[in-house]
Amino acid sequence: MSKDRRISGPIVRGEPFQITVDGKPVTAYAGETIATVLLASGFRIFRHTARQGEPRSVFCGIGICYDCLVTVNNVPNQRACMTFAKPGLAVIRQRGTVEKDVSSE
Amino acid sequence: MKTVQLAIVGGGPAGLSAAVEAAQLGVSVIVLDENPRLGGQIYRQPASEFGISDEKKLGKQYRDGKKLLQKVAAFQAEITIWSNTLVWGYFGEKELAVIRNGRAEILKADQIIIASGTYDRPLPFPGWTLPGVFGAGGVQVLIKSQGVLPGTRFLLAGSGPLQLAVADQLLKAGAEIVAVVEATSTTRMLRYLPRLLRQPTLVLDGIKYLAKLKLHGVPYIHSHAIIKTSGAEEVNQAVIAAIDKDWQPIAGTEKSFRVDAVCLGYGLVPNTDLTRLCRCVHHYDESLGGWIPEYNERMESSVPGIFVAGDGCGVRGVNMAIQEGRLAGIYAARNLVLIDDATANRSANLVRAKLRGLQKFAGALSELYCLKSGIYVLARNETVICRCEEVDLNRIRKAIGAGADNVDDIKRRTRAGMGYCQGRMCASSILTIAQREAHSNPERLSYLKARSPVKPIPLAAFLE
Repeated sequence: MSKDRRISGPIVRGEPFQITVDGKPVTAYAGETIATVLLASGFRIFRHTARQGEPRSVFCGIGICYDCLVTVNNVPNQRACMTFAKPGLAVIRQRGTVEKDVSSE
Repeated sequence: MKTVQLAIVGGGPAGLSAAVEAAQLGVSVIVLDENPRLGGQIYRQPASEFGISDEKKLGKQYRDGKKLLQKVAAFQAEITIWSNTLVWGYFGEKELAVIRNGRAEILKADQIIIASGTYDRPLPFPGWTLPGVFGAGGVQVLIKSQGVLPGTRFLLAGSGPLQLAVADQLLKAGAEIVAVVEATSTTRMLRYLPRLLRQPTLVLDGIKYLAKLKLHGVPYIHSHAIIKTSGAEEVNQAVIAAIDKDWQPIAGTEKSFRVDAVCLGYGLVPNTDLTRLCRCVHHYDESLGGWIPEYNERMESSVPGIFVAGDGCGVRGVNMAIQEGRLAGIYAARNLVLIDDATANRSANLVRAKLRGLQKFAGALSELYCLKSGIYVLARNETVICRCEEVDLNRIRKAIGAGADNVDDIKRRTRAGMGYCQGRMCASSILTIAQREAHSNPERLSYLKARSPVKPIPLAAFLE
C-alpha cells in the first residue's frame, strides 16, 4: 500500500480507529467519509461494474454520480463519499450492483 | 406530517441567504440539506469532528461560509435545520417527501425555495470512467472538507477559472501538477478582460493563481483539451491536443503525460431534479448550464409559491446566488402576508441593484468560457456515456438512427439515464449527442422527465 495521502494541516484529526476494507484493517478518523479512508490508504478502485466489470472510483465527490458505491456492513450500493467512517465498519469493494441476500435472514 | 411556513431545499449560499432574509421578516423556516453540515459546495466546512489548526489556511470561502452560518445560527427561533435530509419526492400540494436520518417523512410547506446548486459538467472522452479521473468540484471537496489528496501527480483540464483555484489548492496540499490545460484561448480571454475588470479583485485572484503556477513550474497550456486517458485499472496516462476555434482536436498535436490523477473542470450543470419534479417550466440556456427553471423578478418559478435561487436556476456563481436567495426570501415572506408589496419591493430593489452590478461580470464570465461544440465529439463508439447503466455512444447513436427524437425516448430505448444517478451524469451529454446526430435542437429534444425518487432510497425508511 502506498503512503498515507492525508494532508498535514490545517485540518486536525482526532484519535485513529480501524475499519476493514475487504477484510483488511485500515486506519480511519472521525469526520472522514469512507471515500476519504479508501483514497487516503491508496485504494482507488472502489468497485467493478455489473456488465463490463470496469473499475470505478469516486467521480463527482458530492453524492451526485453514484459511482463510488461500496457495501457497508452488508448493505450494498452505499455512496462512499456520503457515508461516514465509524469504528469497526466493514467495507467491501463490490463487483456489480450487489443485491442483498435476504434468504438467510 | 410536519408543517412549516417556508421550506428551503439546499443549505448553500443561496438557500442560507434566503433563510436569513425570511427569518428577519418573521418567517418560520426549515432548511433541508443532504449533508451533515450546512454550506453547500463552495462554503463547505470541514467535518465537525475535525479540529482546525489555522483558520487562515482554509481560505476566503471558508471564512465567508462561516460568517453566513453564524448569521443563520443567530435566528435559532426562526430557522430549523434539517441536515442529513434527502428530499426525494414531490407529489404536489407543497408536500416534500424526505428521508431524514434514515426515516421517511412528509414536510408540508406553505412556500418552497429550491436552491439545489450545481455539479461538475460530465464530459465523456475515451477513458473518462477510469479511477483517478475526477470532477474539479469533487477534488476541491476532498481537499478542503476532508483533507485528503486523491492522487499525487495531477493533470487539470477544462475551461474556466475554477481549475485555477483547484490548482492552487492542490499545490498548497503538496501535490504535483504536470499541466493545467485550458480550452479557451488567451486571445479570447484578453478580449473579455475589460468586461471582467468590473470585479478587479477576482481578476487579480486569477493573475495570482497564474503567477503561482509559473513559480511552481507548472505549464499553463491554453487552446488545448484533454482527449483521452488510459491505464489498466487506474489512470496512468493523459493525452491532450491543440483544438481549433470550434474546439475540435487538431490531429498530430497530441502530447501525453504520465499522471495518476486527472481533474476535469468543464463548467457546471444546474441541478434541476426538484424543479423538474415540481413541473416548473424550464428553458434551455447554454451559457447558464443548460436546462434551467424559468422565474420572474421575484425569483418565483412558474408554479406559484415555489421559488428558485442560486446556481440551480442558472450558473452565475456564489455572489449572485446570495442575492437571488435574498430576493426569494423576501417574496416568500410577501406571499405569507408578513409584509406588504411596498415593503417587499423596497427591500428587493436594493438587492436588485446589487444583482445588476454582479450580472455584468457573471455574464462576461459565462460567455467567455462557454463550451464549443468540438469538445462534445471526443467520445468514440465504445466510450461509455451513461456511467450507471454502462451505455456506450454506439447504442445511443443506434437509437437515434432508429428514430428516437427526444432525450426521454433515447432513455427508453437504451437505458441511458435509468440508473442510480437518474441521468445527472449523462442527460446533458445525450442532449449534445442528439443535437449533432439528429440535427435537432434542445427545445425539440427536451430533457429527462424527473421521477420520484430522484435519488435511491432504502425501503427500511418506511418500516414501523
